[in-house]
Amino acid sequence: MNDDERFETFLQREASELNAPPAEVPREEMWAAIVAARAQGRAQNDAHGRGDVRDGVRAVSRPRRYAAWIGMAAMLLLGVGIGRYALQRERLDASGSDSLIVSTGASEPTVITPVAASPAPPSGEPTRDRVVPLRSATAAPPQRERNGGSPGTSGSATYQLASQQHLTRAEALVAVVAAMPADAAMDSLTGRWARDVLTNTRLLLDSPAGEDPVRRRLLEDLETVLVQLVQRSGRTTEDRAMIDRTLQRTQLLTRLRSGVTGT
Amino acid sequence: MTDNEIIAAALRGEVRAERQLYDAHVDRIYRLAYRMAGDETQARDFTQDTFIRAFERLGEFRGDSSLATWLHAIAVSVILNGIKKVRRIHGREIGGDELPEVPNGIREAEPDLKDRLRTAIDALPDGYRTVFVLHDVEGYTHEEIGCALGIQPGTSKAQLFRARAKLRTALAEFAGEWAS
Repeated sequence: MNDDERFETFLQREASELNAPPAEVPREEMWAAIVAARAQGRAQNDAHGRGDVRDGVRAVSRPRRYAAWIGMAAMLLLGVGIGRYALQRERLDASGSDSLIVSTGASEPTVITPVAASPAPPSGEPTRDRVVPLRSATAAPPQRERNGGSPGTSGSATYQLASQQHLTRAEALVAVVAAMPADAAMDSLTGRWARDVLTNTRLLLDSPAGEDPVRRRLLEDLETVLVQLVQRSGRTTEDRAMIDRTLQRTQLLTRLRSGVTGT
Repeated sequence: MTDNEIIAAALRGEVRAERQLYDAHVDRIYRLAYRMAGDETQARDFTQDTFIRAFERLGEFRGDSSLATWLHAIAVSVILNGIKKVRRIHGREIGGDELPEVPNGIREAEPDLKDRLRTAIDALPDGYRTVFVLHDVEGYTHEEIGCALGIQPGTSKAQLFRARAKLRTALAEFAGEWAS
């Protein structure tokens, strides 16, 4: 063996000890992160058009970053919820009846109330301030008036949009839950996230969006899983097994994806 | 299942096939990422990015090379870009003047061979370092390296030769370690 060969042997021996990977590859954790990132990417794509799925991977690759992401989402949902609640109360005070506010992406929210409780505006009053009939004890058909929009069809589109937005968010949550291993810290984070989604799920169930039998069944199954997530007892393995069984039995993730894409 | 069957099933959206593909290749890609990055978190990120990108582009796989080679080409690209990004961030944090330099071979007080070797490998140009790690540490052939890096096997050999020469210069003061 000449000097070059001895150096090569020496080099290979010494270098093999540098940055030596651990014997056990964290397969399951990486797979869970990949599945979650792809689900998140799909949800983002559905909601906002094409995006890079890899943008999502780091958000779920480490609990610390994931916690920040969930925290921001929770804060956002909380803010939206408070805003909705405040507006709802304001409208209730004004109309004396139940109402629901749906984000349409327009400059102002659409406020929906039972028709019987909504007095007709005086002539000349801007129509955008009028409340819109919703499913209620009056059994009046849904009707919507906004900036001269045609009643009925545009109201249906509003609920369709609200449902789509909600199902997109729910899909992201369920995908993360399905992909992540049982873990007390993660359970706490997803529990808070689930609570926010649960509130809007129940609002939708009580709206005309819940009148469609297929969508209602989907929302009810989603509600079941969300309640299980919110009410976890702390026995992580048992809780997780129960949630997994429900997810499997209801095929919830698949149906949510179908619901999001409208197929 | 053959590679083609797995790919066809994965393209149909069968998660089981995606998982099978992942299981077949993840260990080697993770090892490579870890070797190159020297950091567990980065190794995970790079491995995950590799598979996410691979699943996104699986429809583009034409079978000109093996699936393993195609995956490793993606992995090398992801890892090198990721390392560059990390270095840019670190460079901004510590200032460009503090970036590692090739050791000049002058013996310092009680130098540690492994520290010196690590520094010397880190200081290699990206291409040299990649070829060195792939060939001498992870045992890839020059043909595999050529496919993964998009270079000729001969170029891979030449880069390995230059990498070894640089390392030999950097470790000159330890010549007794391999001469004995």
